[in-house]
Amino acid sequence: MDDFDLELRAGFLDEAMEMLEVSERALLNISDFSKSGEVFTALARTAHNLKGSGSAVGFQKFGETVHKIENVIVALRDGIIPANTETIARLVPIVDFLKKYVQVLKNDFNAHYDTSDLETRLAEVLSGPAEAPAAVAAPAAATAPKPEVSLVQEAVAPPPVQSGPVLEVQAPAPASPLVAEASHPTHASNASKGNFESLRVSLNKLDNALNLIGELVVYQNILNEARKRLVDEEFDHLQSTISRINALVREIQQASFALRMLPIGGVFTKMKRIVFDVSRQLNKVVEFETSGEHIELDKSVVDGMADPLTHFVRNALDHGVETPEERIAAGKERTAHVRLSARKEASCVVIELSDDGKGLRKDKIIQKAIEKKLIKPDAKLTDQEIHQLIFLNGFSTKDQVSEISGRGVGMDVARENVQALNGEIEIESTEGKGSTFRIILPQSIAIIDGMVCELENDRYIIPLNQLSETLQIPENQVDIVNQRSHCVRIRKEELPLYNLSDVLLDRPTASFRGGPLYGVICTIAGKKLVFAVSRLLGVQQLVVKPLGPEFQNLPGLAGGAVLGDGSPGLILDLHSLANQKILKGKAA
Amino acid sequence: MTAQQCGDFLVFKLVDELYGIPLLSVREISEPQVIKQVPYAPPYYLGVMNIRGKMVSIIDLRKKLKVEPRPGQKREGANLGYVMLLDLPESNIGLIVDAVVGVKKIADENVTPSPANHTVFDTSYLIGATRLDGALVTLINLAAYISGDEFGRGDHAAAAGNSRRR
Repeated sequence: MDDFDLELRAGFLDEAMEMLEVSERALLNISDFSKSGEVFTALARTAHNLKGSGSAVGFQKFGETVHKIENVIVALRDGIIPANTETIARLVPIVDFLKKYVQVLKNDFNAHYDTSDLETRLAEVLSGPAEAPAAVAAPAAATAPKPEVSLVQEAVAPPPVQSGPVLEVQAPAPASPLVAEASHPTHASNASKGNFESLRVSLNKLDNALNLIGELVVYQNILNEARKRLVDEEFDHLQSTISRINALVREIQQASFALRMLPIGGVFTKMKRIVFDVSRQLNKVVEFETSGEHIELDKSVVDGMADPLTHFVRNALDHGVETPEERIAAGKERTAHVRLSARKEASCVVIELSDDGKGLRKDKIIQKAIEKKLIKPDAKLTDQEIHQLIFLNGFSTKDQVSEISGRGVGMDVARENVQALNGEIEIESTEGKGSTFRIILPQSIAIIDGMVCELENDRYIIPLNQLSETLQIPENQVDIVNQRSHCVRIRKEELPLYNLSDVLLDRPTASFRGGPLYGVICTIAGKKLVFAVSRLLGVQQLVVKPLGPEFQNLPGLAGGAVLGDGSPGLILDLHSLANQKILKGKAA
Repeated sequence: MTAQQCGDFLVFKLVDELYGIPLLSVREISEPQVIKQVPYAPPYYLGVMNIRGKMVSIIDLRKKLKVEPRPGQKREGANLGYVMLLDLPESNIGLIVDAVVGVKKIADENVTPSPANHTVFDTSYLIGATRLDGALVTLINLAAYISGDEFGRGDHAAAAGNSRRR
């Protein structure tokens, strides 16, 4: 069990405690029993969540306990048992009992908690208000003297040697291997006590603090620029103070960015569940492996990845992975392997989903794309361009619409979701061998590495992760096609060339003659485009400032930033710019 | 007309007309700084400006309200008036006005229905009209108008608009 698992567990326990407190309040607030159904519906959902996430992070026994309680709540919800004041009175101690359980687990993840009298208490609820308690509660009274006493029973205490009746009600399910692992004594129980304590803070408060720090950084930059002009020795002291504050501000900034970062593992856990469910539905045998759960990303990126990843995973299982019979016929191992991994690369995080299924069939993709009039029959496309076709709206190669992923919407939406997070998707695929979907995400959306470019007299910032190369444009290699399209020959490749300034101002490019021209190469949907700028001013780390909703739908804008001299700058999104202003109406 | 709408107004000048907006809907007045043009934005947006680390979208109120200068009244780049930062829940929006006259207390009884009939905006945003030293002042609920026009929401008090922003 590594640190990450411990962190997940600690997080779960915090959340569980909160959910229980909410449930308790809800129970206590019931005054009108004709409307208690709503409360029980919510409680059933809470119980279901607790059960699921509890088991997922390794608290199997806790999950089983909640499961038993869930059954009772469901019965109440469905009106099988009438609810009245007495039912509530019996339910509340059960919530207390769970709270105590969570508290015990908080102190020691491997703690044993005595749940032996739970059965009796639940039976009491089930038996309804009247005469029943006497019948069922009797054995309980014999074994567990008073509910209150058993509530405070110490976690570390060995389970009391019980007499028959209680055990007979229901023995705990046989321990699964995971439970065995969880209860195995390790030094981890020490670490679990405090290192991963967390505090839930409203995102607004946090963002407010982060914004203020962002402002501080801006002024620090200005101060730092000014420092360079202090040549007089008289200012020595001032100079060194400024540079010390400079270092400090950088550290504060780093620390503040870390606050919004969450491990991607939570999303991976969800994918485990999806693989489990979907592979059963499709009768496929899949071994699912994950790695890199501890890699951290901005909270909004982690949240935003759940939907697209779900889609890619479903797609891999539905379209990629074969059935065991097909695999054996193809001379492959019966069990398919799907791997989901995360790793850090420079300022990016790469999430990779690979399967050893049948891979993308290029001929089928092309055929479908022609059928759907997404490309011209004579289009010449690179492998990467062909693969990217699957992201076009209305594209689906499966002949029959399946419940899992065959509606033809989804892949395009999934890609949009990723692009909204400033992410890119690459596909590698070999027919018969499998496919890899590679999602490249910026680690933090709050800070980016940007290339500051000058266009005529304007400055714009291009996120570094959108550029594959910067270069000086060889003027004698620039040509015109059809009097309007420019292209440039770079390393034996003819690449479409656009004057970025003209694209932004929505005007045709007259000429590239005259003046030194620099270019940035950007790969969009598998196609390389060259954007010409007047000058490249260098790479800067910039704090991304969101623009108002009034600019939300404009093409080509990723946000704003304050440049070193305090003036506002705009961060471009070349992908949305190209898709909306250059590639629109054309396939791929 | 509610009591809330009358009271303190910030009176400003647009070309040669006077307008008043409820003081509470203005967050601050500041001098214009470097404005960065935003490609593809509607023409009445001059661009974005950095006000203490926040990106403020700047609207040229002359263009927005179609109060065009007469010949000889061209505004030069150097005297770009003032920026009136609106207090909106959705966004940081600053309006460029030509001059700020000041804060005026205007009593309900001095407000008459506005005579304006052919405004570019829905006349329901008009609070009324009054006279200051003989000059006509049109009182308008600009924040609600901008909010409704830019974000499709007349009731700018609905603070839910922030949820989209990080």
